[in-house]
Amino acid sequence: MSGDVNMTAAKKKGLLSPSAKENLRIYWYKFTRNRLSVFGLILVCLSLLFAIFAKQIVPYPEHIGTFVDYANASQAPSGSYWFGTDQMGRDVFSRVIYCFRGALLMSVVVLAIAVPVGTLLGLIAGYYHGTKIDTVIMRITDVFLSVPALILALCIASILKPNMMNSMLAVTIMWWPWYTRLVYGQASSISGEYFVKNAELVGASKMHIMLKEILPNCLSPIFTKMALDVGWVILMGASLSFVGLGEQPPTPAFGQMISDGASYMPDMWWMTIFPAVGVAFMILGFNFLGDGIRDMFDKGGH
Amino acid sequence: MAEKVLNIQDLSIWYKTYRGMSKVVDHIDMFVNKGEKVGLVGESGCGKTTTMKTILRVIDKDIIHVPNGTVEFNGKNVLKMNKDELLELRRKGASMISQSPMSALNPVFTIGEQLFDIIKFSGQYPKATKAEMIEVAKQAITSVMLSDPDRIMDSYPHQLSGGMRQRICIASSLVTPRDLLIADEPCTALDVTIQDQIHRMLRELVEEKGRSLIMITHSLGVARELVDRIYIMYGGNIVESCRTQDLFDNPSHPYTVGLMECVPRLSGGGLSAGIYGYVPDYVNPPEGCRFCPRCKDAKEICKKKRPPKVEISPEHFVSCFKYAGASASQSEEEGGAEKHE
Amino acid sequence: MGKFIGKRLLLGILVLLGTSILIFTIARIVPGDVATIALGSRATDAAKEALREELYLNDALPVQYLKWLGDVLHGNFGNSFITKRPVMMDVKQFLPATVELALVAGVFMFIGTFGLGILAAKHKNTWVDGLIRILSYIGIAIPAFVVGILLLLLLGYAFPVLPVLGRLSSDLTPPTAITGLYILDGLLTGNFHVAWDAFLHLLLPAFALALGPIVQDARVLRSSMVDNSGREYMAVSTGYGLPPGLLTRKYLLKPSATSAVTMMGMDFSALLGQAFLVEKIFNWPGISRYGINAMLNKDLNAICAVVLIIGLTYFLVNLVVDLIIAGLDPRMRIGGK
Repeated sequence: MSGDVNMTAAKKKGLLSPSAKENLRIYWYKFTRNRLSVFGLILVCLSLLFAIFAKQIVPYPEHIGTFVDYANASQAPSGSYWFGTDQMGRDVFSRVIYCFRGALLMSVVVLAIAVPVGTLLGLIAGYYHGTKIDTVIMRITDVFLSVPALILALCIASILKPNMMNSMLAVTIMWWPWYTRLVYGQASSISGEYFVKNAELVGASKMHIMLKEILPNCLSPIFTKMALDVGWVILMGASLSFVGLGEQPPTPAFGQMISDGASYMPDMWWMTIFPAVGVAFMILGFNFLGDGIRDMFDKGGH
Repeated sequence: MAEKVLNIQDLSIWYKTYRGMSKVVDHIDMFVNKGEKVGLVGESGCGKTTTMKTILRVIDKDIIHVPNGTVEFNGKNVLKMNKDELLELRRKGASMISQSPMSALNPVFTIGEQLFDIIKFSGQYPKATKAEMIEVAKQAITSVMLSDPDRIMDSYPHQLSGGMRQRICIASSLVTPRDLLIADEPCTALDVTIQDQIHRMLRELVEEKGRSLIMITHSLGVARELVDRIYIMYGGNIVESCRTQDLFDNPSHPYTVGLMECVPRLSGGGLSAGIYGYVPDYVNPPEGCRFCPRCKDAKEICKKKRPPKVEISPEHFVSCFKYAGASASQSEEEGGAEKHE
Repeated sequence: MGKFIGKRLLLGILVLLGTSILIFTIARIVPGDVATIALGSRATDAAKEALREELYLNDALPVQYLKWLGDVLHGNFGNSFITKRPVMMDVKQFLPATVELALVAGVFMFIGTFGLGILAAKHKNTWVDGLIRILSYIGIAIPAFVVGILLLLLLGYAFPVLPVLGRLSSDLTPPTAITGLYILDGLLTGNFHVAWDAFLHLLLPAFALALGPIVQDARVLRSSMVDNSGREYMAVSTGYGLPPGLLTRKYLLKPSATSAVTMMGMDFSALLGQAFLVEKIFNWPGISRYGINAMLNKDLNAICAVVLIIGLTYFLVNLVVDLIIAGLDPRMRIGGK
């Protein structure tokens, strides 16, 4: 009962001041209501900084490549080597920071391709709901979702030459179906709504209806999923590089560093723990951010 | 003086919301005598259901706060009851027919299973076998004019129509009779003919066994037909209370007058002027009388001070400054109410 | 109900056919000559030609696929490039270990999710709830393979309380194979210490696989229970004086379980994927370790077999999950999905 009252009050507020600024303020309020979202935003911003300015931040940029310094090998964390050094004397901190770059690049590339492709297919299938086009697209989607994504990605990456490009390709091929399914669900219900029928009646083109009428109504779940997915792409990238498919040495990657470090555990724990912390840092950041974005688009009042 | 089944005194209920405390029920007094039928009338969102749910203590204590007041049931304060006393109250003392039949039944259990648990745990059939209890459940279903009780017992709520679900809700409240029955707009989704039958049934149940009834409704017509006494509620306040006939002879609070005008008459005369505006914002309610922003007769004092409760004729109470001048003692009482703020 | 299952089975077969096309295509677009990959660059031309004939490589791709599919339907996946044995033989040898691991991990997942979820909902907004929430963040942030490594080192080497590598201690002989699951076979043949030893070996890898899903799905169950506890029907049932225990266990848990079970079904697929890494870490002689080695060595026949078997498993798990959900929520029973 009180919920209704609050809702009407909130609606009235929205009507009185429909300016974009006010809307932004409401979004920001909803986003910051959960402190974890803000924490996530901070983690994500830091990750971006690490990724973009990796070369400027790290104390030993030359340790990224084929660098050997046996005099300083296998050192525990200290003032000069914050995260210690690996078996070849390379600074673990510098290498971990550098991993952020690869992980972020991968998620950006994967989502930049998978999201538009998946969304477009989902829109088409949803708009032509119940026709042959729908059936064909959605059954193909089902096929891609019929095997755990990691396994097919491992398959593709292993059959191609193991490198960063191919691991990104493998993950992208596995990622679009999720968006097709998400958008399909939204689009097929929206395409039955009156405003879409109206647009058809006044003779709007199919392209116009899909992009201007249906798509805007699917955006908030897409954005929410994207924010959450950055974390999952990073996880999948780390899984691939853990078995050696992905960024090749000497360039560091999270999974590869964890895998290398595992053979020196538990004596040289810093070689495994710090890259793991790096992965956790990014995944958590994007997850909290994703939750915040979901709250932001959430219509509820409480 | 008659024995009081329910006696609510100076009760306030606040909801905790992110905007602050929502003061949904504000200093209300209300009582129900044994064997009496009482009506509670008001617009949606004025705090009727909240008050009634508080009698059974079924609102999550995390979302409400009761700053003051007592709810006495057969002489015992419900708000201070321990777990066992509460179970006893819910099993034998009072039951409530929910106002939202679409959501009042658990979607994943059959009607039969839900009814069976209610009967089994009511403690009113201690020696009955399972088959006997099922028989009781079937009788309850038949009693609300539903045919084919066997099929209904095996149905899930989503397989029944809204009207059928509403009658199931009524049946489950009546299957194990209690001292006080709270009917929260029990007939909203029903045909007029069935409404009539349900009302007759409720009346019989109360009059035969000496039970009491609180009928929540927003229809004055239903109230007139069914109840002995009426409380008019507006914005979390009881604005007027009196015997049913008094109310129709002499509606006194401006809100009651407005309500009366809203009832379309068979004799014609067009639609009424109605009452302009909405129920108040409960987080920042008007400082003085809560009806003041919508009141045609509002004066300066109405904006600033809470109206006193005035007895304009025996058992006829009105909370309005229009009648406050009547005696000096009333304004003292008003001063007492101020202290609660 | 029968119609529902029949429809799902038909759709499943269709999708599995699609999966076979997909994996076959992936296995044939491999850069380089398949015969050279299989036999090594030093193999004779005659040997290579014989293999090409065996793999139908001289036919057009669609024809290759149909002939391959025909063999597969007869249970013949060809020979492994690495072990040189029929792939089907390898599968028979390695599959039971993975089935055992996945089953135990699934049971952990089920018990853990419901245990922690109900606990958190019962004590919502207390330190218990907070602790489970923090655990769920950790579960999201730490990949299963890292959990595996940490467990391996912590409980296997640093504080050696549990055996860590393989399925059984080296001084024990596996029980007579009835099901291929060591725990079950040990119990059936009366070798209880073998069953116990096999169980101890399973604990760490199963826990590594189940931890992430447990803590995340427990949160799902918790919020679904908290949401539903505010619904009208809970207030109504409370109002009738039903005992609090019954209210939670029956009237609240059943309508709330659907979302958690759906999530568990999805997470089980992630678990099958993560098993590829976790089996490698724990040297678990299962189909996933076999699969990952096949992938890393471009053992194309083995890859196809493993992916199809995982696809089939995943489909069966989904079917079971759908049936459980239909059992939980009558509204899901009509009209399939």
